[in-house]
Amino acid sequence: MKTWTDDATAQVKRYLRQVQVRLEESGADAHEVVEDLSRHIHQRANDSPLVVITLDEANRIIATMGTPDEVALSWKQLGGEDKSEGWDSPALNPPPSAQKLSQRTLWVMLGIVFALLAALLVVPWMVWSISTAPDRVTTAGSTETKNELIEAARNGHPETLQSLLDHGALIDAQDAQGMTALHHAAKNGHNGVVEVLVQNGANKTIRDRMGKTAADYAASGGHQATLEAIVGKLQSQPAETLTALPPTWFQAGNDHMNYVTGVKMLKGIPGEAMFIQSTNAKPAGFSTVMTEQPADQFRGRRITMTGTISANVRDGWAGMWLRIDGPQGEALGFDNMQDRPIKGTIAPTPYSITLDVPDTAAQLAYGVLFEGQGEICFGDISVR
Amino acid sequence: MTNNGDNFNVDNWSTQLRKGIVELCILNLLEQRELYGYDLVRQLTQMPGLGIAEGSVYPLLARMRKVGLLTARLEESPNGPVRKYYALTPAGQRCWETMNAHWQELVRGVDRLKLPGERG
Repeated sequence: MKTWTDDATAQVKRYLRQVQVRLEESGADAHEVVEDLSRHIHQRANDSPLVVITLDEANRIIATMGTPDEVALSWKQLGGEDKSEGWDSPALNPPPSAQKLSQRTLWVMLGIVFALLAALLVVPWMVWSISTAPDRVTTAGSTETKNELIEAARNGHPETLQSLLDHGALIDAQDAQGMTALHHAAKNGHNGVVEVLVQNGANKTIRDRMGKTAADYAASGGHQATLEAIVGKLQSQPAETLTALPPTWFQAGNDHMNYVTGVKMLKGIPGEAMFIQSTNAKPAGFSTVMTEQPADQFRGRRITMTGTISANVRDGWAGMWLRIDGPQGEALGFDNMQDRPIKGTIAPTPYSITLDVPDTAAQLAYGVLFEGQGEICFGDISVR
Repeated sequence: MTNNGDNFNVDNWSTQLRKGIVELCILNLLEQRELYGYDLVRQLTQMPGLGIAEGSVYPLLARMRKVGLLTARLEESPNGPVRKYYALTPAGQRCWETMNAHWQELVRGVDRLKLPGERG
């Protein structure tokens, strides 16, 4: 049995959590796959010549596993975006001859069933059923139904779309480009369709193969009302559905109850970006996401904290902050960028803070703070 | 402007090709015998030319189990973590036969194209 250092354990947990997030975004059975990956990592560690699994060894093992995105892509590759049990992947589709056979068999079976039901004098019901069903031989989430759902979204037919959903169509099914019905509706500015999809719980965070969400398409197409229909739903998500912060990072601040935090992927910020989002139109104070670490290795040195921040801040400001604490908790150095605040809408931008660490320093505390309405995202935070 | 062909992305083509045959490789491995996940993944990742990350195999296994091609069972191991053994279902066996037939047909077809004398 191997012994794991705390930081190695934390690193594996962090990796598995990132994989879980990616898989859930892809509609995969994240729990099962994460369990499998965890077993694999521990088996890998078991085969390691090291007695103690250090952070370096954990990183070496994780490197063989593939990035969270690679793992999630592997699910999508096999038609994982479709939660149905049927054939859906080009990789697993039987060749044309087999398809013909199965279709013939299906029609024969349908004919037998029809004859039996007719014999039971339920023809009127059958006529009604066929006329209202979205698909002649639909099973929920079949490829035909998925295509019809996406066509209805693309062409702006909310009633048809609702009918398909009522009959079991999978709302987040993706086409070959990785686009969902919500993507197509947003791209074409079909507000009515977007509203139906959002009301039925469409996943707004799915990215297509171009890496775009439905909101991205609405924004780039200039469909403001469509964008608001999507973003409005996003902002109304309860805090508990948001993803947790990375290990060792936590939320604080004198008004943190009026903000939610979490992680998400954001172009321009490497890895997972953390975010702080206001939930109150007029928050009374600020919230921060922060972490702490011993100052031992930094005593007597000049340190620089760096990070990348994007912002959409109204009526307030945001800033990166770094504090050096003494043995009694007293602040020996502090900078929170209040003299150069981040305001307005800003694309991912690198920021830095430099401070000298006294010989008596005990601990470093640092993070990103936000006071106001809107949202800030940040990542790639380090102190060197 | 004439394109001399150097811009064709062979790496991209190779990646797409490899992605498409991982499931076939899994079926081929399991057709021979039941394997536990770690062993199966190591064999796959050691296969020359396949170039797949170890973690990327598990979503495929989960999906293939879900669609009824594979069964999975857990078994305690004296040498480490619990092992999850995978095996082909009858549907998986049929899929293995169909996919291999399709694969052989493709390989033969591609080979014939590069041998002018055999084009018929």
